[in-house]
Amino acid sequence: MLSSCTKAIVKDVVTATPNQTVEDILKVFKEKNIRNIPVLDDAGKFLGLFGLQQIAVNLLPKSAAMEDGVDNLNFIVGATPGIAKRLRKLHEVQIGELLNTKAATVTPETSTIEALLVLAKRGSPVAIIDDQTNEFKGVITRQTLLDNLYDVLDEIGNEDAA
Amino acid sequence: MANPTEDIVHGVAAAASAHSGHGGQGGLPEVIFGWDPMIVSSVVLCLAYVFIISERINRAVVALLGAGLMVILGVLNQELAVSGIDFNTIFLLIGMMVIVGIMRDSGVFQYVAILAAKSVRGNPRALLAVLSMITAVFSALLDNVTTVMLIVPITLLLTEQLKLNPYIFLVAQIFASNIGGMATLIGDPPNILIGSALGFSFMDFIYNTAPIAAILMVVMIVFFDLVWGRKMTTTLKAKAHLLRYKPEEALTDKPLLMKSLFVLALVIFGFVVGHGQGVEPGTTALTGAALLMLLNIYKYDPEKQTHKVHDALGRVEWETIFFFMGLFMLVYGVEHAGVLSILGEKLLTLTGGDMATTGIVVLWSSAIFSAIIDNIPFVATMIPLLESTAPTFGGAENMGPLWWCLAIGACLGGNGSIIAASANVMVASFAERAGHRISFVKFLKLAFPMMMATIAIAHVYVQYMYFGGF
Repeated sequence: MLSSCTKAIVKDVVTATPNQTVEDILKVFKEKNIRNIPVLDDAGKFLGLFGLQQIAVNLLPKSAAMEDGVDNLNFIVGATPGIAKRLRKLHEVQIGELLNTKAATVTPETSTIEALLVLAKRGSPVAIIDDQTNEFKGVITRQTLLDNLYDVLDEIGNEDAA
Repeated sequence: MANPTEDIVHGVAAAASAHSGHGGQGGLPEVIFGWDPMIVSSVVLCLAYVFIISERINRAVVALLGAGLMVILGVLNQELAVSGIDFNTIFLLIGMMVIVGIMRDSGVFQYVAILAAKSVRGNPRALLAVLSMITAVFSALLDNVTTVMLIVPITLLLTEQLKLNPYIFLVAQIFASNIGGMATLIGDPPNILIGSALGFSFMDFIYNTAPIAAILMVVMIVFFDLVWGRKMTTTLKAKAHLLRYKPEEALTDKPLLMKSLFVLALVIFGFVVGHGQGVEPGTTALTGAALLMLLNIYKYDPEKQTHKVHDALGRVEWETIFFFMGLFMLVYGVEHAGVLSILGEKLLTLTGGDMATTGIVVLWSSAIFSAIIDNIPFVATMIPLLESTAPTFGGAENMGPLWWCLAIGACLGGNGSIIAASANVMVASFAERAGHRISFVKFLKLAFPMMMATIAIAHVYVQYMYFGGF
């Protein structure tokens, strides 16, 4: 039984490049029914994560999206058409300008419990990268980790029965 | 006939030697290896200043390390170091930070800004003026850093709505916060330091610094309007959007607002009447903070009460508090060693012991030095330096004009560069986050000449107020 999170890694992952537009990526999200996508450079190195969270943040006024910004926008009336127009403008933007470069990452050698901690605190998915080369190796999600834990439970169950 | 300057110098030197801590006599500390305490304390202070100015290491850490060195090297002993801390200032800062920290949750600052924007119907020129006025008034009643932390995000939102470049709004708010803060005892850290050290009341500041603050605000608003405001335009559509804002929706907790305003009014009343009753502003502010916390927690169970009190105390900018504490000990080290008395002598030699000349030198030098270094360490150093010159001017009771020159110079000097006051740094940080960077040089080119112009106006003011005109 491995203590690292290797078994929970998904290697066959849809990825994007930084020069793709938000519109392109939104289509991919819809087709593949996903909400986040790892962004890689030409050499396959991990640059960051782009997802619906980045879109939501960029639809807000900067003064509200920034740290310590305006924390209540209830007083703005009739803003919906404006937000929709902002989304339309966002379509043309390359995701390289918006991606989360501080997204949490782990390595294939990271222990399961550490991977669980990162997923619990930083959200899912988490990219798996080679810590020497920054090469993208796959992702780990809450679901794949749970699946892995069920596998382990099966093993433990058999051992207990024995 | 004896040279009056020499008499002055000898008088101050006598006071200095009585004050200094040479040689470990009478239970005083002894500097390690028998080094000269003046040299040791000066080196420690200068090093601390260099690190504070360079901003490479956090200022609170620098001040605390410097204070520690003053004790470890034997310039001060434990008791002297602690006695150097002005706890009235510390309590005043903590008390006001707690009150404002609780009050901000009510959304009052957004409410006022939106109401003002609607009252001028989204007119950019008028908006520049009213937001500057609001910043000045809040800065006078609260600390500057908190004021800009609350007013800048809503300013960015309003300018974004009106499709205006926020740069000049933010520059105006930096000026307004430093000018407005100058008006009261609690408005700006230099005033808190001066008021506490010299025992000035809230009303003393209202009579002496508020008039020039009001004059300079009018001048500033007219200047900003003539140079930038009148050229600003927006679209009818953008204005229409802004006019649909509902300010009342910005008020997220009306009962909290009522409690906060009640306590703030009590505290300001306490500042005004407490002075004559021997109640220091620090006590008033801290008692007010405790009262507001009580009003905010009494209906909850003890566990929730503890949580809310933790939250309220967490709003205190402890970095600033520890910076002040370290700074007080640091400056007390050089004061105790007699360095500041020597510098006081030099000042008197330069000015010939003339009150008016000394006042004007203090005004201009405070402004220029405060623009280069943070005005808090500068004022903390200047207070004991000027105190040492009291015998020359017939005692501390005659020194009033010099203290007002110091307060006005240091507060206005805060406008001279982007690092001159903590509020400026805070505005720059917000501007950067919003994608409108305020560069050091660009700000300096605009702000330093403007700061010098405000000092020139203040020069005329102090000349007529205290020194019998020109």
